[in-house]
Amino acid sequence: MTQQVRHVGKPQRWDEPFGSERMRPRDVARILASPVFAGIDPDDFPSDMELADIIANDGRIVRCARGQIIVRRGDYGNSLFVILKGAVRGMANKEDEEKAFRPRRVRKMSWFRSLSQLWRNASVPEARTLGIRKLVPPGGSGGRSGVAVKMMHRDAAASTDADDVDAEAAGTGDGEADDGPLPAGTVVTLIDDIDSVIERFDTFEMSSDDMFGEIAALARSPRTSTVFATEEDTELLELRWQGVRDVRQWSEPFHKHIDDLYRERGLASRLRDSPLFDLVSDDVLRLIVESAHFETHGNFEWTHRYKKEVADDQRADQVIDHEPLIIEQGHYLEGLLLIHSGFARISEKFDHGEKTVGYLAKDDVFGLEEIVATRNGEQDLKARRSLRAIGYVDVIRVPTHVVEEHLLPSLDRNSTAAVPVQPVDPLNDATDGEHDELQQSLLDFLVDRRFINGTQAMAINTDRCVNCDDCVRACAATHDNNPRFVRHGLSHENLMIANACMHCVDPVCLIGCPTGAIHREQESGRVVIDDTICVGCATCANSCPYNNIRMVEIRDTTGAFLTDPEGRQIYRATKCDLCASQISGPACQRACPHDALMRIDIRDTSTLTQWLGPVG
Amino acid sequence: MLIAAGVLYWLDWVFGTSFRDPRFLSGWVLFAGMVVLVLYNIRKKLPMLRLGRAAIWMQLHLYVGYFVVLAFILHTTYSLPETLFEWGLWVLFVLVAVSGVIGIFLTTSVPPKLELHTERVLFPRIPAFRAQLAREAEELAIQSIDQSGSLTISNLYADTLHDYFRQPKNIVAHLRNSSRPLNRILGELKKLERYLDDRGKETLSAVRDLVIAKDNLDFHYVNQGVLKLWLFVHVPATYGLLVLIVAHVAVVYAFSSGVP
Repeated sequence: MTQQVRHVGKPQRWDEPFGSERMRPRDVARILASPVFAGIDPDDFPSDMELADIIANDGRIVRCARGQIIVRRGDYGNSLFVILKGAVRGMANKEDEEKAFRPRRVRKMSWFRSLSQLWRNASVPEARTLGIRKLVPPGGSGGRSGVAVKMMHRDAAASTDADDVDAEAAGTGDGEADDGPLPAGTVVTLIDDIDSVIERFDTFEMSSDDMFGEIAALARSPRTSTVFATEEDTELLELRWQGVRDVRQWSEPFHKHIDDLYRERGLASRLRDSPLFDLVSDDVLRLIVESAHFETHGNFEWTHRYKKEVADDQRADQVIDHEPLIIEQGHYLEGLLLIHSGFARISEKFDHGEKTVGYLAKDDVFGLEEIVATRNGEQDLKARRSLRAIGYVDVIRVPTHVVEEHLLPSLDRNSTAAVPVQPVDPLNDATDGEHDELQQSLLDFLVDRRFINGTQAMAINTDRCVNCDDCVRACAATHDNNPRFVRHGLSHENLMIANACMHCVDPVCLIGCPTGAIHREQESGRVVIDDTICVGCATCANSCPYNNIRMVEIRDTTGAFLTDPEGRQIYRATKCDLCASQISGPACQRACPHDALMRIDIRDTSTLTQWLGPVG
Repeated sequence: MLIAAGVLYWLDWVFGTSFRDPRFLSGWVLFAGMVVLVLYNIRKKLPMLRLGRAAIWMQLHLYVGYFVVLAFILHTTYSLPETLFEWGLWVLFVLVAVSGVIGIFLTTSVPPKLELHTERVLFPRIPAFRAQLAREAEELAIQSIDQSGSLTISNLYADTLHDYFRQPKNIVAHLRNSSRPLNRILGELKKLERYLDDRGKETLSAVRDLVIAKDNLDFHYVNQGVLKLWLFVHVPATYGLLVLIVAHVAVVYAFSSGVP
């Protein structure tokens, strides 16, 4: 039988612009004339990626009402904002921010309420009591010292009364937005009494042609401050990270401007967070900040390739070949590398391939040993091992001469015992050949499959697991009669990493959530979904590289599926929340009668190998 | 556990020498032991409460279970029952105890076997995977006629493989961890190879992969099934035993003189 073939155009990068449609030429012209972009020479850009096209496709104009929260502290953003008209304010310090917008935390149930789940939970899975649950917007609901905020549709943002907007309505708005390219139904959060916020709390102002959000856009780190509009009809250009990357790549002035902003706003405090730089004086740190370079390696959207690699066992074994080299073994070491975010693989040449010997995570450094050895005259300044980006990694590079002149003398004056110059290197713990062999294959498994991202991965010891499903039943009993994980996953020897949220170090699922429903709890580090404001868009589920977030069709307590006025099913994103609201802690782990299930930080390889038991 | 049993046996002797009926003592100890054993099941039903890890409860369940067996032997005065009611109690207790011991053996011996046998498959999904393999095998058999006009593979499928793919096979062999039945089928496939052209050999190789995959699936089905099967004896027998125990206590006190 002849198969029919339908020819379609090859998908292009800008098939889907950032806004609901490509930006209008007159808006692009207006943006290019603004001081931020006026200094950029369009001739610096290649013909297939002109500056105007980048702005038109990777940018969108966002109009905000007075009091509208634009970014929230802690949210994972992937865009940069340029103020075109109006003004915004940001919260100046964390303490004030916590007073104003109380950090969200899941409240534990009382003992009786926990028990009452036995008869209170609906008999059908994923039932919701809509209309009864009170909507609590991101940032808290105000209170004695807090600020009252409310949530509403983007289309209704200009109006003032939105008290009755609930989570359901938020996801199903009708009609087109009257201004701006944000899709209809986009949820926005408004501060009720903005003057009081400005008066009571320490804030900083930004106005036309200022820029913010560059740290989160470049480094995929959480937003460092909550920013809100202070004037009616404030107009912003929001440029997604791909656009930021390209403009930065082709325009030296823009590159410098962004780097200067980063140095000015974030780099010093970021370096202070690292144990290595914590020991140096303020003056030395200032010198280091002035000379440091911020670099990104790998593909920001690594999750798609990862899913393909995992689906194909052979490709998973060759994953190292696709990882971009940050520095190659034997090459000249241009500087000390500090991992800002993400992971990097350390490997060394072994026969005709590369052998993984460890990996680096946030705050780890690469190259210090070599620089110290060079200073001591023990070797030339060459990398002893290779360093590769696992997925996507942000690196701060401090030039070698600055390290030699300023950092090493500072370290010499202080005890270097606490300095983590060694990468995570589980193989160093090996005590015998057999153990070494186990660690190497286990390390390959954990790094190749990127389970090193997990802080609370669900590890199952298949030597002990009897498939009784007590863990699954316990999870269902504590979560709307529907387990939040699948007791199945990738295996290595007697270790299985089940499909349960790992509460990643680098939670890419948080990027792009339109309402901030999926967020990381500041105190516990858990990644949780606020069910009351999830609009079921599935952005997080599609982003999760490990397929650990599931979209579920929700029902009412009688079991009837809930639909919007157009008859479309209403979904919610669900995932393991480590039983945040339960007094028992993770029910799965506690329910296992054979000690075969453990929630574990994968980087804690010694506990893991001990728990898995000896080989043979 | 042994010390507790020793204490019980000593108390039983003391009761006996003081002209009391020691069966009242061993009976109530037995009852208390049974209550502790049942608490494990209640713990499993209450995962939302902070009642300790199930693994610890499981250990308690095991040790109290062994103790209860010794208490039962003492309570029955080392003799077989006399009445039908007592026989009912005795049989149910033995069923619960023996199935429990078998359960311990299975839960420690089967998981390592499963781990060695390719990737672990979720039990409820096995029938769907089996049906998929059967479909693929049938398609290959039909395809082999179209491709080469040879009936060799299709005849093998009709005579042997159709039945092999239809349902779980070689249950005893899988329990014994024996690969003889698989080797026999693979041997039959090997013998046919000489009669096939290149295309036929390719098809035969694909059939061979499916046969091995089905064998792995059966292995998991049988062994995971056994891990669940013993509970179908242990749990219902426990409920029956509890009912008879309550009746037993009521009858004993109804017809006793009031002095233990």
